[in-house]
Amino acid sequence: MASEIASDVDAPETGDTADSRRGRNGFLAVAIAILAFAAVFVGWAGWSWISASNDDSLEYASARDEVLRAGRQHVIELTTLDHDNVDKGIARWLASSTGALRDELASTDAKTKKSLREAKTVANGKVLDAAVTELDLDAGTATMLASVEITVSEQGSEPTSQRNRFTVQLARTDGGWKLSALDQVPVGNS
Amino acid sequence: MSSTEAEAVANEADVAEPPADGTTEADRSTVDGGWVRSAWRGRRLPVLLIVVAVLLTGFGAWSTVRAYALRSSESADNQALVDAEATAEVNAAVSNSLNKVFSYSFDKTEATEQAAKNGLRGQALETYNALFDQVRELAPKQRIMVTTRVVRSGMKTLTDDRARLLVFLDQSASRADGGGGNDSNSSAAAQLSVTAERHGDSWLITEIDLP
Repeated sequence: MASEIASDVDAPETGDTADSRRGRNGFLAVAIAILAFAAVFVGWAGWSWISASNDDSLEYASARDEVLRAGRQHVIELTTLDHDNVDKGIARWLASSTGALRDELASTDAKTKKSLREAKTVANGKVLDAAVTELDLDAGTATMLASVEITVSEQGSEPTSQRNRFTVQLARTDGGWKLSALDQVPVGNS
Repeated sequence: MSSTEAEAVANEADVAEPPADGTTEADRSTVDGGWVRSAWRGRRLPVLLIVVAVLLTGFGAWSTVRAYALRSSESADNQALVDAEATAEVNAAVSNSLNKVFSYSFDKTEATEQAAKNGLRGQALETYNALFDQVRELAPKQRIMVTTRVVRSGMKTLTDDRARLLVFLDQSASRADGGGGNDSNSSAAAQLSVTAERHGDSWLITEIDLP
């Protein structure tokens, strides 16, 4: 009995420490293995994220789409004018343009404004389709094509609409991409 | 708070320890405490490693999601302009094809028919036939010649096997109904939204629409 108790008391003590040491070492090995896998995974994931965010072609592609989005919006602004709101309309023209085009629009004189008011017409531009054809991120310039339907409504008469072909030059400004030129593509100058 | 309270606590602690009467009890308690502590010390490292592993995995998962979002966006899939060479190639192929199929000479109809057969498919071919049926009918009588030239062409989207373009074209038509003062010339601006698909090595126009 006494020996049994003694062995009972003894055995757990020695067995426990040996087991727990073995268990601890096993646990440590598993933990190291898990950490190693995690480290490899995070290395790969971090690398793929960094390479994606530094990928020039991804940056270029997203700039191209931003040019298209901004360009379409500004073309609408510049082909739209309400005779009741000439000053506001011209303010929108100026907000959508930059460089030479903006200078030209800014110099719209009182006489022109008066005739715009008296024309009693409302012009509404709608971009039917558009595509970016050139984009230089270093220079901050871009060119796009736009197919624009301009509908002119005059009081007391049927609105008329016309399809226009435009080449649009854009320049990057602090306020985003803006139009620096808006030109009709003329027919038959071959 | 006060120093007296702190002393009281210290005293209590002091008082609490002595009851470990007998060395065996004291030894046992230190052995027990040591065992727990050493067990924790033994497990602390692996647990810490696993916690670090979980944190790393979390960051890794987040990075993967970010990277995937960047690479799989609609912008990223569209190679228009990004792949300058392919953009130029498809632009040239589509322009060349449009120039041929929309140019028509009353005395060389086969060339145009052949170009349409080679370069157009599906909806594009149907639209084309609808547009050109009239010309085909009148051409021999009125001696019509139509010359079409793509003047601007822009790539909207481009993937490995599909391209969408906006194209500006100039068309000039002349009729020469047997000479005299009846001859006339006219030119017109046209614009088309075009879809092309890659078939083997060549790009075929599958859709033609007015924008």
